Amino acid sequence: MATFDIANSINFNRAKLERRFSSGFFSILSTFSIILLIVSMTAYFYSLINEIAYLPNISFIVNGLSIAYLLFYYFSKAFYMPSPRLDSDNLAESLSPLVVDAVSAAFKIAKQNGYAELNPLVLLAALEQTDDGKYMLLRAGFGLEKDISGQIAQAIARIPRQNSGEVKFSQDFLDVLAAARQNTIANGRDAVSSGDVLLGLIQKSDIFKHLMFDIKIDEKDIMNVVEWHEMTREYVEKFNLPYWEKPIISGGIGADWSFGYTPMLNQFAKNLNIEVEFMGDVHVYGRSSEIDSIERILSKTDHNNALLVGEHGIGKKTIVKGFVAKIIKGNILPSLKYSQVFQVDTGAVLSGSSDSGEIANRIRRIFNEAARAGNIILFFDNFHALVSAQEGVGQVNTSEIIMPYLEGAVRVIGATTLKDYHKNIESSPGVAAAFNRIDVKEPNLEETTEVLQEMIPFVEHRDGVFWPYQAVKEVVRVADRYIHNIPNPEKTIEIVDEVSVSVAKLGQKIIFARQIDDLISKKLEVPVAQAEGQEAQKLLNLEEFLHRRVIGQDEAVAAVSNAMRRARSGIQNKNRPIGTFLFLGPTGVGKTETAKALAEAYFGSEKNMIRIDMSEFQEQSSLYRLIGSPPAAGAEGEKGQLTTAVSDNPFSLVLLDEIEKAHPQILTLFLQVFDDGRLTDGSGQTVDFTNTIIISTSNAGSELIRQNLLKNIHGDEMKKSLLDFLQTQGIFRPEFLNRFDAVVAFHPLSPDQIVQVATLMLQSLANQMATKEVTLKFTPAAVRKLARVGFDPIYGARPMRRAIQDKVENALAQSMLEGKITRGQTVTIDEKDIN
Amino acid sequence: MPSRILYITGKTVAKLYSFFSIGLLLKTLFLPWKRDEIDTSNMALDDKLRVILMNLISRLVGAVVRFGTVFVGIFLICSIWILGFLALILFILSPVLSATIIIAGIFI
Repeated sequence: MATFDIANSINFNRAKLERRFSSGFFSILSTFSIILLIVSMTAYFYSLINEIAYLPNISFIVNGLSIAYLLFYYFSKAFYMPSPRLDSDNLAESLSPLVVDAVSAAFKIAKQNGYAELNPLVLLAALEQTDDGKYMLLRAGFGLEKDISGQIAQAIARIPRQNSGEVKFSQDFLDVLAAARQNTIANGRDAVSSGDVLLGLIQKSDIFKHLMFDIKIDEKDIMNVVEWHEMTREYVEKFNLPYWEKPIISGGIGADWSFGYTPMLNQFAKNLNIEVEFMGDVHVYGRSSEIDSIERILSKTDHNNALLVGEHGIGKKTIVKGFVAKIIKGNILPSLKYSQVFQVDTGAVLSGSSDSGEIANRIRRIFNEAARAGNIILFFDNFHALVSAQEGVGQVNTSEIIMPYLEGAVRVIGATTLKDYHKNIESSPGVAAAFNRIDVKEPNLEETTEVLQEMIPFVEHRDGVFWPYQAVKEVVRVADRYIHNIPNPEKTIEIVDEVSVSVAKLGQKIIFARQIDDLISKKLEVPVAQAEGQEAQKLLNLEEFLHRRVIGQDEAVAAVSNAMRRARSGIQNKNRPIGTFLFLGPTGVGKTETAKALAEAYFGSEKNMIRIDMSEFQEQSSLYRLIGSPPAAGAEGEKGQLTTAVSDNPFSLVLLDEIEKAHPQILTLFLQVFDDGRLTDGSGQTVDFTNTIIISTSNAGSELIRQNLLKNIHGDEMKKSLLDFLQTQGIFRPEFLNRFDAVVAFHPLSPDQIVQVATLMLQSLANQMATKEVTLKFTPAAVRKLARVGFDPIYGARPMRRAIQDKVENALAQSMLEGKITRGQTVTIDEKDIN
Repeated sequence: MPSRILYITGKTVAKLYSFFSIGLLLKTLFLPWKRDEIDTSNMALDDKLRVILMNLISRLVGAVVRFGTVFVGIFLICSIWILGFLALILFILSPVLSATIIIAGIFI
């Protein structure tokens, strides 16, 4: 059974005394003693020169007293050094000096206010006053928008008071410290820190839980904040090391004298040691295991070449720079000390000569020079270009030349992509065997958060801004959700940099999640903000928004709106497109208009709609026009209509018109898009569809829809009969139909709805005329006549626009040119005006 | 505290050793300057003799510069050790020293 006994805790009492020695009177006196010592020694030597009789005696006394006090001071500090123990039954033995301070302060608060018990709330109040506690609470997001001190003070005021008597420790208080100690042990720390107490408070303080709920953070977030704080503290301690603990930068003054000249490398490569040293301290976040692997591999006596394999933009070059930074700091294995890393410009080596003999000679000379110099490590970005299986522009196969050097004479770091590794390097088994492969993988979201936590203190220092934990979480969330063409952690690092700089420019100090959403919204032209404010209103009223452009079709509009709400509130699987719909129905009933309205509602403009006429893809051979063709020998492949448009505008609505006319093999292609939200184009690049809405339209089953309506069949029954029809007729395969989020039937328009369509279009015309300061009005009879003229039993309302052009717009244009209609005039169009 | 004085002295010495690249310079004391040596194979005898002489000079120049640097480094290292030991002795004697100089100040 754990107790909390201050009187019998050596650690607690030593910590209090040590604090007294480290600050306040004793500390000031020690500084004063040092000054006195220097002054009195100077006075003594002065008196010797000038023969002042009394001064040596005074100097001796002052010197002696100063030395005596300094001895007392340093010995006392050493004697009262706290010694926390985690194995004692007495919890007071396990506390760090900062927590001892917080508990003492809490005890004081309880005593001053006459509380019978010291409970977790009072401890929270005391913790909030310490530097450590305040920092962590702020980092977690407390007190940024609401005054946390005020909230705690209000809660404390409600604690009942007693008139006199001793303050006892409540059971909850003991439980908090016991939970904190458990956390300390679990994390391998030496003493219970303020962060551990904060984690203990989550278990036992209702008010703390309430405050957490208020700012939308949970226990895991607090744990991450505590870990982050500990990590930052360790970094700061490393920076504040005394001179004798700091490593020597670069290899010393004689390092260069023992290694050879590198004229060839100076021409075809850049010295990364010089570049990194010039840049100052290089921070490589979250890649220590890859850097350590390079170090381990290169320090071997043979088979000492490393090959970094990973996608473009994943940070392979940054890893090499991190390795170089280790060499410069001297924090490296002895065999790699004094090494110089040269990044060879493969392009420059391979260009400027059409003679392959000349290129081979250059490569041989580079490797010879590196071998001769004795301390050179060669780094080749795009290493595959040197050992390419297919020689061509910018690609040669020099395997035979470089192999002898790779067997121990020269250390080489190569970088390539997985695709090029399989294609070019694996085809040269000797070269592949000479390298130790290091896979550079994209970190997961948790690892990305850790990378940002390493990076952000430096960004904060640079830009003078503060990143609360929620903002970090939001960066990771939006980058994962909306940016798929750049891997982590690069994409999150880019956002952190951009947001920091833009907020600093505005003169603000704190980064809020909404600022991150705003930046991404502007950058990607997509509403990122959580369903709140205006956007939430738009989603809630999506039916109304769509109906401003789409007449009738209540079922279709409701089905689409429900699917969109699911997507925006984050319920839907994020590895699929935002929504996939099949719109069925006759021509001219509003299928395309619904798609346009949805593009406007979701992506801000109907311009963000990619329209593909699938009737152009009736042959299997037309597949390459859709997704692009692979590069042929010496020529670039054909661009795919769909894949190029989506990779250029990943936040788009894709409208696949007349889908039933496409070749069945092409439809099979869309199964992967609907399932996984991605498609591999002809050149092998993966195109991301997870930020698209895909709408396929088809006239198939139009007659069935009409007949069902005549029989008064609606809703699910209509949908079932339609799906049966499409499958039995072999128009679409079941696996294709099953992958749509909703199959939506569009009904033929009724006469009333046609009038409404006409009204909508005429209103649009009236709005255009209003910009010319002409008021345009239509009588109901005129609208009815136009609706009659613009409707076609086969094409629905599609001829309506043509009818309005012919019957109204032409006449208006004529009158305006003749000067019959002038600015400020009101024009009313009646039935008789429409011929 | 005495162990701390020795620790700081040792660390300072290690930094000086590293700063003057003493280990590396001793290991490569007689290597040609910047490894700049001409290969003498396939040369006529008189050319060979001339080049060997040049190579020898290159090694000699390298050795002189390196030796000078090593000498300065070792001198500074010795100085730091002496200062460190002096500080250690002063610290050990400081209780007696402080009492002695107070008494001396009062009575002499």
